[in-house]
Amino acid sequence: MQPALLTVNNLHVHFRTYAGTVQALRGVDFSLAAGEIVGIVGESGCGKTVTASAIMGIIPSPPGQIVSGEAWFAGRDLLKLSEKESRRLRGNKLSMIFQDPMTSLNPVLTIGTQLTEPFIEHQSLSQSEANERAAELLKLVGIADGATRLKQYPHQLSGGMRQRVMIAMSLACNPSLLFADEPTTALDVTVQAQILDLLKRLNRELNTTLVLITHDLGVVASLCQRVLVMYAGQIVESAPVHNLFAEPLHPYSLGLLQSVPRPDFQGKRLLAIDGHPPDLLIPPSGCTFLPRCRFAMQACLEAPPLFDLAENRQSRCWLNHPDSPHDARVALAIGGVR
Amino acid sequence: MFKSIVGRILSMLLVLWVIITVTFVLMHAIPGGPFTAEKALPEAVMKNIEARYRLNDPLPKQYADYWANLLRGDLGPSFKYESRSVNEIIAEGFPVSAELGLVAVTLSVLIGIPAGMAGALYQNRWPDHLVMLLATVGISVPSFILATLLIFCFALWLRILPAAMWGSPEYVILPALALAGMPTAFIARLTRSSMLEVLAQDYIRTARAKGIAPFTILWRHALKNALLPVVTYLGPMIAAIFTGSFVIESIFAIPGLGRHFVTSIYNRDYTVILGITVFYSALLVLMNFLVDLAYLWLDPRIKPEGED
Repeated sequence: MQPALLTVNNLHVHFRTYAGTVQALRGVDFSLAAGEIVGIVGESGCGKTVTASAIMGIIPSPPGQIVSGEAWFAGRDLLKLSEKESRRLRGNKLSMIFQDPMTSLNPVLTIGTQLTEPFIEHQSLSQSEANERAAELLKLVGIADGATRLKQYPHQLSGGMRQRVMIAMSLACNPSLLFADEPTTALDVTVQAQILDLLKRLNRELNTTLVLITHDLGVVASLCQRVLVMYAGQIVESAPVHNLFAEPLHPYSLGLLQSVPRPDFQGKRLLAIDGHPPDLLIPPSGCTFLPRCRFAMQACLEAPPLFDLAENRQSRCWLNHPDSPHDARVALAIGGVR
Repeated sequence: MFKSIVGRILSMLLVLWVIITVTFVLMHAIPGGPFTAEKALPEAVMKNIEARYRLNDPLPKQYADYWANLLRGDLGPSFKYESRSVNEIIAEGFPVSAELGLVAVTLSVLIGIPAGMAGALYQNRWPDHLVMLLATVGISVPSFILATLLIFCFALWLRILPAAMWGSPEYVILPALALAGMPTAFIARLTRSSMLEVLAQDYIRTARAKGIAPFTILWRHALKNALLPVVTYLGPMIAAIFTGSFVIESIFAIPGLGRHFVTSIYNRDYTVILGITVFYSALLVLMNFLVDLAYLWLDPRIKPEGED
């Protein structure tokens, strides 16, 4: 593995609400190598977006608060930076694109104004230089008549076009790390494929490390090299993408995979994971997946650590304990048979 | 664009016609007339006066005559103030009220919008609490109380500003402050709430993710979006404030237009009632038109009717 571009250790993020403190992230650890495409998957509310936002430094505070943790990037801990230092990296070396291109662009400013902002903010270019660069960026993301588009407003563009503009905007300063938070969820299927191809091409051409946040395992399979599975504010499994799909180690990963419709299981009932994710206002003391787990056992009353296993693999399940009496792979494989 | 503006102007004229007609009917429906007095005039004298002002004509004829004069720009003679026309009354009073109103509106915009922005930016922290406290006070304290307090402080106690009357610029300050109190508070609350809504939008998060400085985010990304409701309020408010306030103009003895709104009705001064109603409505309709034009500039998604 290459030297890490980003290393996140023990990241805890809380949100203070009227109902109490929501422990949105409860110790997230992972690292990213330069140039790789990593997927973060998990159901809604598991902390995917919060993880990216915390690293970007855009958690709204209050109510959000980074309680503890480190995020090392280019020799600096991103979480300890002042707002000003953090702002200098944002949109520059780190950038992020969001789920809904319909609402993520400012409706009253032209595409040009919004697209040239990073150049002016981070590279101190003049407006005319920035305009030129913006038109080049639009070409890069596959928008031909850049000069015209720059004068238009977001509502004059289609959804796919707007997401291309968002991507162009995030690429403006040639970031080394790009978070894409469900970039295709709000788009129709053909446009989804185009946007994913675009992201893949940009990763190859610009060597941008891409973190793809999604709940679409199909997208992960087609695009990512490595996957982090998140559940209830923690990473429960980390694996190269083909390993995860071939033999998931964590029961939650297995559940996710089984809930994807497959052509070879046609006519059979789709398996869903029963129950709900835990309430992060009062997270349970043991394994958070315990109430929904088909393999639950006595040991699970105590929270499992993230076990380091072979081939870049990590799993947060007692079944993967080196002394586990069960062979986890066997157990899950049996569980996987229908 | 041109087509829709013509359409708008036609509908504005229709609105004015409705207002004039309804006012005309209501006005004549009130018992008594301009020359009704406690001590009844001799019948012959009354007849003479009514004949002179053509008050004994049938109402439809009076209505038609009024329109004929109105279309020539003549609002008629006042019944109460001898030898003065309504045009003169408006020409004298309006500049005074408008000057006062302009200062008051400028104050309320210049104070209200930044105060509201500060409240939104520091939501639930002390600047916000301060702004909201002052705004609540500003909305609940009636203008005549504020006026009295201002006179007490600055005219009687500190003796730095005149207590009343009209003349050189320092006479404008106290009445303008008293007049600006309520609108300032209202604008501050409006700006705050609409700013809070805008700051929670996705595109603000996008701007933050781009590393844009907080002030730029507020100024360039949020303000234009947040101003729509404020502009909506500003239109009718300007029309109302520019035509004068009865209360403020009475307290400060200012020769503006405001008092005519009330006194003309007591006096059954038919032409003055109609004249200033027409004037106020025309101004109101015009301001609403300007507000609609401002929308086009503020929000590119809004397009004039008749275009796609």
